[in-house]
Amino acid sequence: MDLALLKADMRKVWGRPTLELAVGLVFFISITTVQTLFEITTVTRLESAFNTVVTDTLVRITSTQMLPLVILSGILVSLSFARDYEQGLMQTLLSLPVSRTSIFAVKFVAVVLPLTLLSWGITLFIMVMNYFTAGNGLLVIQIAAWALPVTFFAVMFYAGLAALIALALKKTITSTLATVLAGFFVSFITTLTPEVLGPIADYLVFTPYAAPIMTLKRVLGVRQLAEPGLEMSLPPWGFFILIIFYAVVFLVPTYIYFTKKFEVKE
Amino acid sequence: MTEITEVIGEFENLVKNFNTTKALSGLSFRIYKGINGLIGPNGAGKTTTIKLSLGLIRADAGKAEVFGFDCWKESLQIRRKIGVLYEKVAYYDHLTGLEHLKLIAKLKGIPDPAAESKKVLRLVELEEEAHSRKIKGYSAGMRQRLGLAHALLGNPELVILDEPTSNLDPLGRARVIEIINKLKKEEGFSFLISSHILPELQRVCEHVVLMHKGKAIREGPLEQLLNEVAPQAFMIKAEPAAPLMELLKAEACVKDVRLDEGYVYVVVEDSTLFKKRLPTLASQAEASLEEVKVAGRDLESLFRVAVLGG
Repeated sequence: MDLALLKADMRKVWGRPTLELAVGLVFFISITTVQTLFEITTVTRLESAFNTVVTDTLVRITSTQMLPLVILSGILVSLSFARDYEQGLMQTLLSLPVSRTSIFAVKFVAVVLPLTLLSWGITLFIMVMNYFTAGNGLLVIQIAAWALPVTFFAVMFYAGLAALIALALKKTITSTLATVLAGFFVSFITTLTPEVLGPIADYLVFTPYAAPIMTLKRVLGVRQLAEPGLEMSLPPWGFFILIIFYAVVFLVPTYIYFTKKFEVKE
Repeated sequence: MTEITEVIGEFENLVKNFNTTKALSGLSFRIYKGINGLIGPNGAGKTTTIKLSLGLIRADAGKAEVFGFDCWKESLQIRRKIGVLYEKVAYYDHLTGLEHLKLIAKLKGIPDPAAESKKVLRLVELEEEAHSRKIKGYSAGMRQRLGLAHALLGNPELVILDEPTSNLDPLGRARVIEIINKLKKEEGFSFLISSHILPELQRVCEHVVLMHKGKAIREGPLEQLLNEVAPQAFMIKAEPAAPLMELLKAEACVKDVRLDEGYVYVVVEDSTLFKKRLPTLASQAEASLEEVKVAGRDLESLFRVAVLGG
């Protein structure tokens, strides 16, 4: 991957007003999350670090707060691929003596790297704020240790999906809308109740946004009070593999399509 | 005109369809060392051919090779030897022209990117603006000149120019033609120039390919093609034109008849016979012949003859 090209692409993707909007979003997420977590952690005791209800609640709060960043990653990747295609920059780049692998990596990393660093910044900020102010530091560290890799994997998952949509549709507005809808759809599936889903409800734990939560619970040894479900059929490391699989599930085929089949037709 | 013999690109029976549209339908031609012209109306398949030669699209069938490399499978090797200017010019607009060229020079592995960038900027007379102004503030003409500088970076063995003068004023066009001629003579650059502005191409091209509906309808050294084709077409101003055109269409020595910009444009197989028959036909059509001339010995006429008679 060429660093000079990466720098140029990052400056394009993160030019005004994108960077300002992202920083504003991060600031908003940080403030609201810190406040919510603070209210919970100050009233819980050390034992509650392994309490399923508290852990579950905190993880869900963190995940929900991170969702806008994940959606932003999809929008930026979609813009980076589809807008560059429409404007002709993709054609210019693909005509240079640079491999397609390098161009793909540059366009992907230009979005994913700064966004991951931003999300890690939020997580660490929240962790530090809560650690020194809340009564339950262990709980905070647990959440942070989970959030750091999971945010990266979630961004990778969604950015891969966005790149695939952008390369397939090749239209800026259409692909951005499709990416946002796809993101909310995946998130929406996670919120469906067993009453709605019926017999397939058990499989919900394996969906892209639910699997990371299950990973944390299984690693901590937190169990549901009710009958154990299908999630117990996978060991904790199985869930780790599952979220790594989700991180590359769209990325790998998109990369293969871009390097082997993608054509600049217009 | 210099002798052109060395083949640097070869295309055979290329077929490319975009859904139901046939972009190329059996295109065959060669690119020679020197200045090559790719001539054809909009939609003839010129840009598709250029994209195909750089590995941006893949042919459905046929063979495409440049510098002995397969245009799809080994396009990276081809792109190392080629500089290209597209009709649709797009760069990193937040950079200045100089920053952009330095970036491209680095990507091309040029040892001194700054010096090489300044050299090509001087060549296209964009040195001053390129230092300070960002590309997003450039006029269409300036972007086109920057594109030309971009294509010339690092002395490529072949420079591909897709409609290089489309956004330029007459002075700018003349300057581009001048630069192309100079680079050919002094630096030994080879060019593949696609354009529908034919008088400009005629001033520089040594070898031309006439494209129509995704095929090469004529190919060869420009001088040779002009000699072959020019006497076979006539431009006639007649009043009334319609009855004369009807009679001309029925003549055995006439290949095609069209009304074009007030002239009856006639492509013939036997010009001697045609000249003998024309007064008789005009008399039969009760038309007065106001003007009869042999179509000019230029690319435009050559192209018309090729399209109408080919």
